[in-house]
Amino acid sequence: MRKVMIGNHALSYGAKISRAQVIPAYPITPQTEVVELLSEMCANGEMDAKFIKVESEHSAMTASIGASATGARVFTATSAQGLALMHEVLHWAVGARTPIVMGNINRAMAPPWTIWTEQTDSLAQRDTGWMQLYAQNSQEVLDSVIQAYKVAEAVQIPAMVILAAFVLSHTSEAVELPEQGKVDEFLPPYEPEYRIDPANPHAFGGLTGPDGYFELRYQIQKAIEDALPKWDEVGAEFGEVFGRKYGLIETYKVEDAKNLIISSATLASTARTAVDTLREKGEKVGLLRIRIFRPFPSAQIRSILSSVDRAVVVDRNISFGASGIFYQEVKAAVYNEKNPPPIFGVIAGIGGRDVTKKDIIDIYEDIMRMDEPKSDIIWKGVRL
Amino acid sequence: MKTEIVKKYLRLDKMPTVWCPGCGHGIIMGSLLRALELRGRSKNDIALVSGIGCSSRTPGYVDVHTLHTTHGRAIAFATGIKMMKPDMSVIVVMGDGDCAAIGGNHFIHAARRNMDITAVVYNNGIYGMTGGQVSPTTPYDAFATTAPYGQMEPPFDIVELALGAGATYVARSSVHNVPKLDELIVKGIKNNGFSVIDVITPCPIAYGRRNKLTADPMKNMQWVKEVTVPRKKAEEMSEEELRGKWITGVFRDVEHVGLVNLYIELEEKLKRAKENKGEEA
Amino acid sequence: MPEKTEKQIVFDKVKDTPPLAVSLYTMDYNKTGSWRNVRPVIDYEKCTGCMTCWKFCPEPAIDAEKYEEDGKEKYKPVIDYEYCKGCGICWVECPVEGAIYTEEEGE
Repeated sequence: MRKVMIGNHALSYGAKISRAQVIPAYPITPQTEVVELLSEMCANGEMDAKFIKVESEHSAMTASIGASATGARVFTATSAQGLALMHEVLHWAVGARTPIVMGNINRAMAPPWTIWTEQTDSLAQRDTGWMQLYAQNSQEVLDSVIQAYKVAEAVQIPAMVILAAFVLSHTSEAVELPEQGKVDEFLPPYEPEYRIDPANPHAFGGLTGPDGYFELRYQIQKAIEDALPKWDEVGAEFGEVFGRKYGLIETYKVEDAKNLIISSATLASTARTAVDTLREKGEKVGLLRIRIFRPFPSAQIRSILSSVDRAVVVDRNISFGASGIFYQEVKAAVYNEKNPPPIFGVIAGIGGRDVTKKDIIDIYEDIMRMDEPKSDIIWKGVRL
Repeated sequence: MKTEIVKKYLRLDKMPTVWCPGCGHGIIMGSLLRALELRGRSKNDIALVSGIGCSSRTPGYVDVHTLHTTHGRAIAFATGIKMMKPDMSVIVVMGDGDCAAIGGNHFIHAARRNMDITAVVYNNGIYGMTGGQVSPTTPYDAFATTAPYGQMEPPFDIVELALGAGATYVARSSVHNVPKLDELIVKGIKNNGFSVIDVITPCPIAYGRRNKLTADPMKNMQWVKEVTVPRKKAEEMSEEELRGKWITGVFRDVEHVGLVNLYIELEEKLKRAKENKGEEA
Repeated sequence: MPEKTEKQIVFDKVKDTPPLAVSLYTMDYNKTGSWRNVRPVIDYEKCTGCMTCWKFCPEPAIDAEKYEEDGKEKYKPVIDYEYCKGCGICWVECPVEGAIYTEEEGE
């Protein structure tokens, strides 16, 4: 059944269809619609779930961990400042191996106060261990929530499904709602090995000295690495059952491409139209969209970059003191290759400044005129 | 007097305010400005700190030292200012969610320490700015976007919370009784300790529309009048009659030494001890 | 009470380690009796079996041992010296004069 909905509601329907059982959440623009619809569905019985109106985002995540530890499937959502407030417990969710799925609406960090889109908020959490998925349209959002639960519960690592504020979260699109029966078959109930169970009591999270901690952390890294092929597997399986296939990355016209534009989320959607226009002009250009950022699909990226002459990464984020974050990671992935192509890093769209098709075409044409990257950041759109 | 205050205390280039028609926040801000004028201090000696929400837009319009900080942490920022500048008048404006939900911890600690800060809580029982979610002071059975079939959690009484945590000046009023509100804010600023003034104010768009009041400002003001009861009258009413009502008046007004003064005393004590030691040597 | 294992478990390799920090064994290998300087001793001639010491013991290092007398079920306190830390609360709280007395550890 097709339904017109905003990106935020695609998250809500994703959670509903995945049979989330506990939703602790705190409002923050532009996430409010996610939790309002979920609250409505919990209250009228459409969802068999408990909605907890917690007092802050820190509590939202801690309550999520508590609920997940009992074996419940948990969903929550937040943005920017809220995600930052949760930082301490984001680490905890990973260490406690609770496969929570959280929707994060990418919003720029304050000060100054803003509600418009930028990716720095979620990327700043890349070291916590949470898996990160950057969606480009509402259909992908809904489908990704279901896939996220499947992968997260298989490897026992939490995952974030990330949307751009307003550009995706508040844009209405027609979305195909998967059939509940098929989703139930695709996504069986969550059955963890260790859970809070009076019949089988355990003490969780105890003090661990240097003689025990390393092995626990090794296991987390191993689990996240195991997730790499899992995302492709689950995405392919999803394609077979529901007709829409997904993977770690998405490529567009890369087969004979000499130059590559690398981006993510809604920027990639815009870049795709730019690639079409550039192709019409005779440019041999392709697009690589990075969908899963954590775990970072280094092997896949190396494979695509092995046959191109140059690549430009368009980042809607910045790691102060370094450069754009996708740029850093892409560069690192190909560094040890025999002949890595020169990679240009462009930062655009900070604080929600619009990035148009023309901007991306200009970016491409600018870097094509350069012999090699002279600096780590090429600024696009800032009024110098 | 009014025109002078407008010119003196407002950042006229930031006006008009963005508050909805019928919102009570402007009334509270006016009351606050009159209180500052009556206090008679230089603008340079006043700091106005806010958190996040419609209430917290107030510092943008007022021409004193203003800080617009993170959600729930206005009191924490204010504590830092007060400790370093004990002679400044530090006033905090927050919403009910900012104060009692995410900022609850800072609220009770400022009360415990008796920080010389005046907290004016713009209590409209809803998270207005984000579209109308439930807050810790949303009344029983009231409707909000996250309580589409009625709020089933009991609400906080910010006055009781402040009293329990040890605040030395605790009062409640509403935007309906402006002369009283003026008086309470003046007394609150004057109090050398943690003052809490809980102000019941309407939110026609987020709260009123969902709770049978419509967005009509007059209906919302009428509701504020009906839902507030002065202390003397409340004493004669039964518990059933008081259900869903907010009692207004002064609940505590005492003198007690606060952390700021304790620190100043400690500094002086240490200074004297050092001087004495110097003399001995 | 869980079975005493009295062994300290060290997860040797990654494959032996649980996926998350969860305690799987007891701490009973930690013999806190070694912390004592002074030990309490019960004089069973004077002890009335009121079990006040057992109720107070914070460790708990006093067991309630069941026995039969005249066909009735009764309890007597037995100090577990492997874990008794010698805090002396049982000695202070005992209502009967001399039913618990203390000795220097090592005597």
